Amino acid sequence: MDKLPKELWIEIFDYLKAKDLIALTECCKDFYSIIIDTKLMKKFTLHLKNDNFEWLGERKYSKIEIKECNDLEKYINIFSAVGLNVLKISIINIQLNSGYLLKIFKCCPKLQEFYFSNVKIFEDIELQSLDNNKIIERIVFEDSSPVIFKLFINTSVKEIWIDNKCSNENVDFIPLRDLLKIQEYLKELRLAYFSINTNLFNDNVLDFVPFRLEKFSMNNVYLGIESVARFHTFLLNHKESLRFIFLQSPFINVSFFNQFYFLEELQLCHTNAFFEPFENIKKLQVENVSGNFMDKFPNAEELTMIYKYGVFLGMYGDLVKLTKLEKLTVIDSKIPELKIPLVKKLKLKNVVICHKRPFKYEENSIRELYIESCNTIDWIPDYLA
Amino acid sequence: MDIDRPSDPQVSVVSSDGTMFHTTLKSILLSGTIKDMIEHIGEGGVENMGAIPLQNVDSKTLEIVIKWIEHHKDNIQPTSEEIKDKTADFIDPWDENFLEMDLDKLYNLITAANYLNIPQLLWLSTRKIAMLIKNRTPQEIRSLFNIEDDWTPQEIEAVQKENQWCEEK
Repeated sequence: MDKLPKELWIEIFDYLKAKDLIALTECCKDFYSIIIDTKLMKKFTLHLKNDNFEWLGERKYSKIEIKECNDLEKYINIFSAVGLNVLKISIINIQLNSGYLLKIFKCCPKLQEFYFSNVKIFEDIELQSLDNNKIIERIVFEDSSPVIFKLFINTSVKEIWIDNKCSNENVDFIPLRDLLKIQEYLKELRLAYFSINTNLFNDNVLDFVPFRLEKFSMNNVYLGIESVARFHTFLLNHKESLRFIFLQSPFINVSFFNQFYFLEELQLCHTNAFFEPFENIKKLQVENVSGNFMDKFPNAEELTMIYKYGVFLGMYGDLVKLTKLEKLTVIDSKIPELKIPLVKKLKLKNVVICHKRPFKYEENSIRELYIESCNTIDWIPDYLA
Repeated sequence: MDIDRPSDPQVSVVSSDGTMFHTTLKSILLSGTIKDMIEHIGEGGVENMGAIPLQNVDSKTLEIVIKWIEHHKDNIQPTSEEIKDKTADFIDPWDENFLEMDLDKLYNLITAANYLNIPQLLWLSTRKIAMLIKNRTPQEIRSLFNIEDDWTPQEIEAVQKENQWCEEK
C-alpha cells in the first residue's frame, strides 16, 4: 500500500485489536510485514495449549499464555526461541514443578508482568528469586501456590493483585514481610477474598516503610476484629501517597474515611454514607450504597451507580446537587424518578425506568449516550435517536 | 508573540498547486508545524507576514483541512499524549459527518494532518480508516483497499496456521 507511508499505516492499525490484525496479516505480504515487524506485535498473545504447535520463527511475541497443558517439556523449544521478547506471561490451570517454571523464566529475561491463575507448584528445586535488578510491573496471583512469591523476593514490583476466591489454601503465610525490595516500589496493592486474621496487619507486616502505595483495594477480606486498628494505621501511613481506595469488607467503619478527605477517586460498596463531605473526589463509584450520599461529593465529575437489588435507596432528585457531573453510568437499577443534571455522557445498562421523562436535558447537552438492556427508550430526545 | 489576543488577524496559506486560501490566525495555529513557524517570526510579525507556502498539501486537501480547523478553532485541542490514551469511544457528530469522504481524500487528509502536525485531525482520520477495517475478513479488506492477494497457497496456509495460535478464545 503505497498511498501512505509505513508509519501512518502503523498508526491506523494501532486502533485495532488482535482479531483484526490477524485478518490483515492474511490480506497481503505488505500488511503482514508491517504487523509482525512493529510495535503492533504487542497485541498478539501466543496461546499454548495441549496441541501441536509449529512456530514459523518470524514473529516476535511479547505475550505468552500457557493453559491446561500436560506435556510442558515440548514447549521449552518455543520458549527458548521466542522468550527473548516476551514481556508478559500467563499461566493458567496448570500443575508444574518448580524446576520447569525456572526454565521458562530463564528463557524470558525481559518479563514484566506475571499472571498466575490456579497454578500449583511442586517444589522439586527450591525456587530462587529472579534477577534482583528486575523491575516488575504487575503480579496477579489467583488461587495459586504461595510459594511462587519466592520468585519475587529480590525484585522491584509495582503492583500486586491477590485474589483467592476459589482457593482453600491458606495465603496468610505469603511472605509479604520478607518482600523488602518489593515494598520500596509497590504502588498498588489489591487484596481480595482471603482472611487477614492476625498476620498481615498485626505483626506490622504492612507497616513497612518506605513504600508509597498509591492505590489500595480490599474486597471481601476478612479482617479480624483485633486487626482493624492496625489496618487504620496502615492506611494512614500511606496518606500522603494514596489516591485511590476501594474497600468492601465488613468490620470497617466508614467514618474512618474522614481522614482521607484528600482522595480524588473512591469506590464504595454495601455501606452507609455516614461520613463528612469529600470535596476532592472527582471520580466516584457506589454499589448498593444507601442514604443520601450526593451531598458528600459536591465536586464529582464522574459517577457510576450500581444497585444490584433494585431501587435506588433515598434517591429522589439528589443527583441534581452534583452540578459538576459530566459522566453518569447507571447499572442494574430501577429508577423511580430521577432528575439528572446536564451531563455530557450518559450510560445506562439493565436499568428499569418507571417515569415517563426521567431525564432533564437541553438541546445538545448529552454528547454521548449508551443504552443496553433497558425497559424503555421512549424518553430519548429526538436529536439523539 | 501574544497568540491569545482577542482580535483574530487574517492569515493566508498557499497550496502546492498555487491556490491561495485565507483563514484566521486562531484556526491556523491548530497546526503545530505552522505554530512553530509563526512563533519564530516573533512580535508583530504576523501582520506583515506574507502567505505561508505549504508545498506538501494540494488545494483540494487544504480546503478540507481549513474547513476542519475553522470549525475547531475555539475548542481546546488535546495534546498527542492525551490522544494516545484516549480509547476512542466518542466522536463529535460534526466530525463523524465531516469524515464522510472517499479513501483517496482520506489518505491525503491523513498525510496533510501528519505534515501540518494537527494531532486531533490525524487521530480522527486514521481512526476512521481503522473503523473501516474492523470486523472484516481478509477478502473484504482486500476489496476495500483494492489490493491484490500476493500470497501463494503454501505461504498463506503457514500464516493461517500460526494465526490460529494467536486468536483469542
